[in-house]
Amino acid sequence: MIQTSAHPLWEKLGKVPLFIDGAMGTLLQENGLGAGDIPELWNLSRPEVLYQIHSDYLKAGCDILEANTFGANRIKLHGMADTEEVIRAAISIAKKAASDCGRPALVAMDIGPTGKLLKPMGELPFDEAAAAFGEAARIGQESGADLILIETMSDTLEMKAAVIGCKENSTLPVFASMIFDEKGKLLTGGDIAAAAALLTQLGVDAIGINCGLGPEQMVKLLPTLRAHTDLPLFVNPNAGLPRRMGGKTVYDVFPPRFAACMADLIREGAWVVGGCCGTTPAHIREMVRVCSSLPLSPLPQNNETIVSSYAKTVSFGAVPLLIGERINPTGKKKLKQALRDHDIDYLLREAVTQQENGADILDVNVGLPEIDEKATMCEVIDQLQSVTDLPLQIDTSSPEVMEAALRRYNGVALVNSVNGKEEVMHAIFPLVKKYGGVVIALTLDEEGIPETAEGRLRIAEKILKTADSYGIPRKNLVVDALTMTISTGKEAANVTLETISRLHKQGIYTSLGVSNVSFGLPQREIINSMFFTMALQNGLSAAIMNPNSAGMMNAYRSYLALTGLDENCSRYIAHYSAVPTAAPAPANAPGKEISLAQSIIRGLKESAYAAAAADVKEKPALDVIREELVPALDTVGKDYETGKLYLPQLLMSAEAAKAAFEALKNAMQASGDTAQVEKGTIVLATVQGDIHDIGKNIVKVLLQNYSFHVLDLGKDVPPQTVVDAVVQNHVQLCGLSALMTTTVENMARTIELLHEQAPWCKIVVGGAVLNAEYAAMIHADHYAKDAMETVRYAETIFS
Amino acid sequence: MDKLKIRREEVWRYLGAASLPHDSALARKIEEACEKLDQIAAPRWTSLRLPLSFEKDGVLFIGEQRYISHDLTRHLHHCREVFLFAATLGIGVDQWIRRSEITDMSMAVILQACAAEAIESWCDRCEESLLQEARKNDLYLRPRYSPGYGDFSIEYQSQLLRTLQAEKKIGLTVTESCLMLPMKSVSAVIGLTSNQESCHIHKCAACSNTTCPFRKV
Repeated sequence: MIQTSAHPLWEKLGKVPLFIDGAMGTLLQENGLGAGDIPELWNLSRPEVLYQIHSDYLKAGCDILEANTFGANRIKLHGMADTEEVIRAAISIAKKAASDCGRPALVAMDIGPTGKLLKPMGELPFDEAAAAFGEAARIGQESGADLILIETMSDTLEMKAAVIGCKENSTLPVFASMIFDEKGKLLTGGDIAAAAALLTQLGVDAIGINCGLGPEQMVKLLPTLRAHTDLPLFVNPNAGLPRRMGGKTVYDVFPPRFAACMADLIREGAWVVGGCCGTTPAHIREMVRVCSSLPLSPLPQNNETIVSSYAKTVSFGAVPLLIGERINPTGKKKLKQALRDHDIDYLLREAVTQQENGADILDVNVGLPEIDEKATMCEVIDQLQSVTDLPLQIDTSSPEVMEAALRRYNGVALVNSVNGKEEVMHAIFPLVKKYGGVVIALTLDEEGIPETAEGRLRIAEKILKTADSYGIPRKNLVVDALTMTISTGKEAANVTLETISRLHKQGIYTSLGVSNVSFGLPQREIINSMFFTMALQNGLSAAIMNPNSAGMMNAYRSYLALTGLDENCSRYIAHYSAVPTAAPAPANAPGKEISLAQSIIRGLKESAYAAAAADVKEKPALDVIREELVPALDTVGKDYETGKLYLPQLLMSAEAAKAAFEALKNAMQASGDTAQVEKGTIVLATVQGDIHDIGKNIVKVLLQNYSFHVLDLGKDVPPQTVVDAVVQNHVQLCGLSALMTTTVENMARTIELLHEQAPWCKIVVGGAVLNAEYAAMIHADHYAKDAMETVRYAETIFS
Repeated sequence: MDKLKIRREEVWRYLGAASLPHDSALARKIEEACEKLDQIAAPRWTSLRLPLSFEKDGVLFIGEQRYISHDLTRHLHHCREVFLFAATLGIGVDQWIRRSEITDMSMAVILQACAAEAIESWCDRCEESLLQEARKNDLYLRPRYSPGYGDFSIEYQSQLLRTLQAEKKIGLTVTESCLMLPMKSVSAVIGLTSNQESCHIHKCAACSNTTCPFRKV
């Protein structure tokens, strides 16, 4: 419960309804604020209007005033006003009104969104947002605010930045509310459960819904919020849904109806109620009159164990969960190489594939001695969250990397891991307390891994107790009973299964890295899938496994169907009715009938792979490339250039060629063929300020097809980063793209720097706003009108 | 939220394939993309009706907000009111296109084209309800005019969207370099006029980019 302030009103929280004021913007507009004007400027120019509005709300009976600071952060104000000045003025006006009203009232530092979209979908870095909110919170507290009310957020990541910024810079209670549509969705796609899971774990003091909807719609949504948090609830609805009348926006839920609905909201569990757009002192007065003596519901217990992404939640308990293990370099040559080459797309493809194959959660481990783990982890988490909505499991042994990852993760992560070592627990639990998370607890400690189930249960208990001392409830720990290989100890699997079974009986969730059981044995999938089934039978809650393995997935789907966890066997049927039984390969199997060249020309990925794999058995890979792949690509390229093919077809051929290359590379690796296939390295980047990079990505696909090695620096890349990559790798060609007239300047700056520091490097540019004349003007070496032309230019440089 | 309308011939045009024979594999992929878009798009729009006044040298006021643009001034000639307008397909579309870039670049390109058409037709549908509102006062709508057209600087994007409270209402934001996010979004000024003739100009005709490969007139 809230302890940070001695204000008499906090005593009443949870005992009687507390009332927040109504709309500010609506009343400022009535007083002459124009559309597009900055409301916070009135704190300085029209303080008497604000004082009057606050006083009117206090007279109507509200307990909590929201100071006029909704947009008062340095990002939103954007230099149009001084943040500190407008906040100090706002709080002081509200405090004056509160102290003049003759009864206790709280002043809330109101915090709204920055107006910018955060990375990875937008350009605002998480820490910049957190710093801006933190600054506002600090000034708010210094100016005498009693609490912080974060509201009208439609992005859970921005909300997280706001909560963390406020908690790092002030000690005030934090109320946090978001804006949902009628279906209970945020504008950024998240749902109520995901938002509630995150905010509850971040440890705010109350969770709310505001704006967007009228009270009638909120009555329908509040039970869902109540079901997913044990924190106090507050609501600030609009005076109905906005409607257009005679060119004006009007709200038509009038005070009596508003008050009646607010009473319903209190009955659904709200402790604190107020109004947003369209509400007036009359709404608040009627609400206070109708609601002030209503009883409040007690806080429920919430026993859910939930991890989440920005979009959805995954909960432990009902059905065993699959944690995809493929993004972890241990024992994976290609992933290691991808990490060294900064080929993030490779990791993203692994993520998408695992999701398509049925993973519920994805493990993310990027620990390699030769790379910067922290920077890589942060980048990979950002990027993963822009292509998948699965919750992530952050897997690192470094507390520093763990903190950086948990901080920016958009949701409640699975934390992999703690164990019974004091040092580890004391490093990780404070992070979990601050940023939220469900923690995997490995049953080992300073003494090593106990050989008996009793020993492992003892460690589990120690970890659960230590977590509790940090205020982390039992339900947020998942105990890993540790899988040991049976090739070194005959009781290994039995001990693990017994531990699982006993934890399960105690109501504790469990996890296992299933495939460890078969280390040192041949045909590992046979043992793994059987052990997986046995573990499930003993009550395993989550398996860290390979969802791309048919054997493992067969075991899993069968288990669900056999134990009644797959309603009407629908999951089983949906998957297996489409899969042909193991019949002999048909005579016209891909690759037998369609040649490699034809597969590429027709853009057939699978048959290109099969044909290349077959061809490379007959002759060296380089010959396959020279005699079949390159001529086919040339045919496609020329057809595109002469207008016989269009871009999607060119790209379908490119994807087919890529699959063929993949087959050839695999064959070369297997046979130890070290022939050099790649022609040279090219750096690609979308310039600073520009975050639209599909054009650059198309160029990348084609260049790779023509055997160039591409160092893709991504989008919004600062000039010096481009130069550094070119210099470090002594690259001969750099491709830059820009979409906006406003970012071409950054392209010019990048080129200037390149000419200065890497005079040997040629520069090719492209993008919607460029043409040959403009490219020459900013001293690029070449303007390419499309991806194919970039390939042609690259060929002249590296010939 | 309604189902999106995606005119297939427009998709082919965006793909640069209008004059080529339509390939059936590609046609199937376009259908697949349209279906996906329907699932992931969350089309929204918002508008504000504001008075318009002109001063000299291309200065005009939309409500309280000042703009400078000779081309916009010309475009809104004789209008006394405008709708500020913004519409978006939502961030889910950006996310799915990004995902496709990883797994299937040709699909990403097709989705781009379908989404480009979907936002256009979505705007057209939103405009119908603005037209109905205008007709009640015996007024018509001039074609949409967006920041970045002619000398109507793209730098006005942020002022226009702020006036509409577009971030709060439909989740539409703008970057420092004036790019709208979600990417499949449109913002515009739409003049209200009593002169119906001036309303039938195709939007391409108002654009100064005469070498645009997608220009229709």
